[in-house]
Amino acid sequence: MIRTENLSKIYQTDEVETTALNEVNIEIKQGEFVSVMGPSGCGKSTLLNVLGMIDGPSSGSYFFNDEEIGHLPERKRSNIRKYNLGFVFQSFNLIDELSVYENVELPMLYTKVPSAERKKRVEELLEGMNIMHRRNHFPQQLSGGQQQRVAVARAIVNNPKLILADEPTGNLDSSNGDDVMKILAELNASGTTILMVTHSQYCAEFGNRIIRMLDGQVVTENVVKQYL
Amino acid sequence: MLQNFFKIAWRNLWKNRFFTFLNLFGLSLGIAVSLALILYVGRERSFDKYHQHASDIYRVGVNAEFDATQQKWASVPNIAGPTFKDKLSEVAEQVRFLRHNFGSTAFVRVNDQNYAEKDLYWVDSTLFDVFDVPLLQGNPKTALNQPNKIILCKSVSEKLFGKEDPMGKTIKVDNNLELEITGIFEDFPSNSTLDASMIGSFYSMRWATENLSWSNCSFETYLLMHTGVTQEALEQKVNQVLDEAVKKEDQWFSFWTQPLLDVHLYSARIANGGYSSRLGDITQINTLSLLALAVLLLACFNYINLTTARSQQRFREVGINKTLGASTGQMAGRFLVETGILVALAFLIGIMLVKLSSPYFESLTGQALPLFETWSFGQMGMLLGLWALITLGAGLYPALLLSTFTPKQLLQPSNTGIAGPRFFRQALVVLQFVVCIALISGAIVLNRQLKFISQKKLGFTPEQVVAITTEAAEDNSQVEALMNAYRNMPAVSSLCLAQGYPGLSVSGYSMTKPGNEEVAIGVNSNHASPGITEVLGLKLLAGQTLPEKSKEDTTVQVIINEKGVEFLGWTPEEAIGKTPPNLYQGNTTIVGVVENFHFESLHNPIGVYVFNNGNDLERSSYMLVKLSSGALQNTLQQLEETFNKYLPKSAFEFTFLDAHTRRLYQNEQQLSKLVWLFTLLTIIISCLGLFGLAAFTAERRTKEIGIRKVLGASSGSLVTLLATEFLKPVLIAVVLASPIAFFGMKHWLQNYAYRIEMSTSYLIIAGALGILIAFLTVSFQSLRAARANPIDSLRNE
Repeated sequence: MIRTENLSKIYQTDEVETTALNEVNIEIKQGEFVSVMGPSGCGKSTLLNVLGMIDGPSSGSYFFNDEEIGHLPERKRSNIRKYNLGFVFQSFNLIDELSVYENVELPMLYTKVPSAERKKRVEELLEGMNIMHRRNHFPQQLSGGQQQRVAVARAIVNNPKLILADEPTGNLDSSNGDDVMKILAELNASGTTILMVTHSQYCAEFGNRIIRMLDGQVVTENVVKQYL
Repeated sequence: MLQNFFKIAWRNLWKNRFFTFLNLFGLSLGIAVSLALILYVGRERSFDKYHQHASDIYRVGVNAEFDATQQKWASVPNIAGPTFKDKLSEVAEQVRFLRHNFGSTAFVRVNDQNYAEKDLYWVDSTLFDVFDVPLLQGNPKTALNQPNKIILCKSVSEKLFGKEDPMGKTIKVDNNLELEITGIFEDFPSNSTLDASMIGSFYSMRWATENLSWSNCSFETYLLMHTGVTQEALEQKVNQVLDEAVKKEDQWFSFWTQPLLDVHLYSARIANGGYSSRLGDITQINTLSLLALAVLLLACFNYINLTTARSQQRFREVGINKTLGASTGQMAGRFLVETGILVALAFLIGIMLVKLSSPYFESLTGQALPLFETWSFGQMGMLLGLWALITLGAGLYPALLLSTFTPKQLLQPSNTGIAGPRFFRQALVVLQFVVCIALISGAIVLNRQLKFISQKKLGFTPEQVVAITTEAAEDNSQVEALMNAYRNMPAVSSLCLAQGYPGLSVSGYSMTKPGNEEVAIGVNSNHASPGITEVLGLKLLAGQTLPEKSKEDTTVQVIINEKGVEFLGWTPEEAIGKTPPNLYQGNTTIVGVVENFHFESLHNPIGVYVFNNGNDLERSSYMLVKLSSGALQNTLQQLEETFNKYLPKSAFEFTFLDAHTRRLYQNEQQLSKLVWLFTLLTIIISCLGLFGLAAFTAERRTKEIGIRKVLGASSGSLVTLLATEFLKPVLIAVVLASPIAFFGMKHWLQNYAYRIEMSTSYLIIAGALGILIAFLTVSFQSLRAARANPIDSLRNE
């Protein structure tokens, strides 16, 4: 599903050049749950940004479903993104002005899903996440765990092929973190590919494989569970 | 999707109530001012359009040449109209207007009651063919077709006759003309240049009907043209007619033409702009439009500034939406919807403000604002168009700026978003304060000039002098009896008769230099009786006042002003007993010389002025009475009672000379009020913006302030730190605004022959005021931030 060839990302400021990704070569197959670990500043988030088509690489290639998309213009990347990817962030990134229901519904407005279908899908997901009773609340009225469940619901509402999660449990206590990881594991079990950046070895082990990074390079890859 | 846009926009506005309020307040003010002025300007531009043939009607005037100077008049000789109609196939009809006694009040007597009516015209019966003047009663074919017929407007008819039917009744004008009422017309609408309240048949003025000539240019004449004739062609044709009728060497004028639709707005600067009192001024309209645009732009700048400044808080929202698939266009649309909602709210408030301020506006312009008197598609379209324009003007730039945030910024928590176009914002603040400071300087200079005018020694004393109209006296003996009666009143200190008084135009003559008949000068000539110097408090430099004279005496004695003797090349003493060449065709002797006095407004330099007592010259229409006591109300009542006793068939009409002198500066006073109003509005709007920006900066720099405080900074030093950031653009604005204001006001002062000197001290005051206002505005927010507990701010961060 995902393949990179010598993928590099260099940030340039007035006087300093920082290499965030240094000729990274990785491959992620359909249905995998891959965790990315490494110290702060090692390039994990940059890798997630590039793979999530939010940022373009400085050099190298990025194949998504065998199509080279690393150097596509923003408009085309946005189009691929909205139909294929879902995002879960450490800080949830829910829109404060929208209710729980509206937050989950939002991605479907951009993919032009008909209204009745939207309603059905949002309700199903909120039921599944056990937050239906909070549907009319606003993000700031929810606990961290609830907010992250809403964020996960929003990430999967368009049935994306790939979910990108950037430290999804980073702002949660262990119990809520566990819940979120279980949801992700269930999603993976039902066929969704997941790429997750984390600092927690515990969370990383929910995946099939752990990629470890240092100074913008992949240093090791461990298989945790055999991918079936 | 749109519903979603509205929802988020509304919630966002509500969430940021403080900034929403600032934006709303500024935009509402801007919209209220522009709406008021659009309505006012729209009304001014709608003048005379209601006539069916409006676009085919032209007024003819003359370019008169006197003493090598050209003057434009809006009236022509009485023969012109009928001749044009006879000779030019392009002319479908013509109509002539003569204002009663060239603009004097008409004294109307009905059923033993006296009325003073200002707007009586003598008009051709073709009036109804050219203009739309619907008759409520009477037949347009016969209403004005013979001498001694008159039609009245509805309100005058009701005033004179109450509920009685006036048709067929007679009224007496100035105690000599008896006229039969043959029609009643609807009062002219407020957007009509025609302002007659009574229209008498032109034939009633026998002298004007019978003595047709190419000389006396007192007749305002309109031509109805067949459709398709251009103005240039018409102008050429009418001048050809003149060439055929008058030999080239005898011509002292040529004709010019003016479309009816230009008469209202383009006649104010014509020396003799016609009889109507309803003349607007295109320059004023343009100035007001410019000011309205400036206020509206400033309000839009505020919105742009506050919105882009807060862009850092919006990047997260944009990032999330874009990550979820929103396009830049969709995001821009969303922000525009937000602006649209705010502008719509501002419109509602603006309309309410216009309604509330309507009485004030009426006192400024003399007109009520035609806002929603009737609902029309035009007005709704105008409002919608303006809404769209302001939404785009204020919202487009922030929308484009905000929507270009990339989702990347969202996923980099360390990145607090781009700083926003700080330079652009500062430039807008500079621009706002340039306008502010320039207007403050303008207002100061205007104020000083008006003060200068009011304190300037006029050279005569207008206080406590009443001018009473004696036009309608049946004979001279009545006037003499009245004079004697007044003379015996203790409240009267002196009195005289005069043709006019300072501030009122009198007769125009000319005289030449002794020994050189080629060099001539215009002379303002006022027929007066001996008391004139005492009543007006004129200072005699040599000689004496006008002598009493018998009716048989054909000689003329004059008092001349200093300017006159200067032209003649004599000292005041030398002038006494001499004859000014070519004035009043000989037999004229100078008996006195007075110090110069301002007989016109201070716009004009003092010219030559002469008081004469020639029996064969003009009549005296006014009795000027100088009062000694302070109990004016009582004295006026006595004057009126005595007047009614001696002139029983005239109405008592009077003017105080000082009030009349003040009215000469009515435009300036109106302008001054408007400039103060606009200055205040721009200050409020600019300060709102600055206040918002300061609040935002204080919020943004909370952490910095906290750290500085922990490290030992005092509140004072922090206020200075924060306030200085905003004072820089204001200082730049002072530098930019000063030359604009200096040269702008210097140019404006050129309008006055007598004026204050433009001084840099006004600019310094304006600049200091601007800086002070800006400092006060930002220091409130800065002080609040500086006084906060540093632990709170650091924890918040």
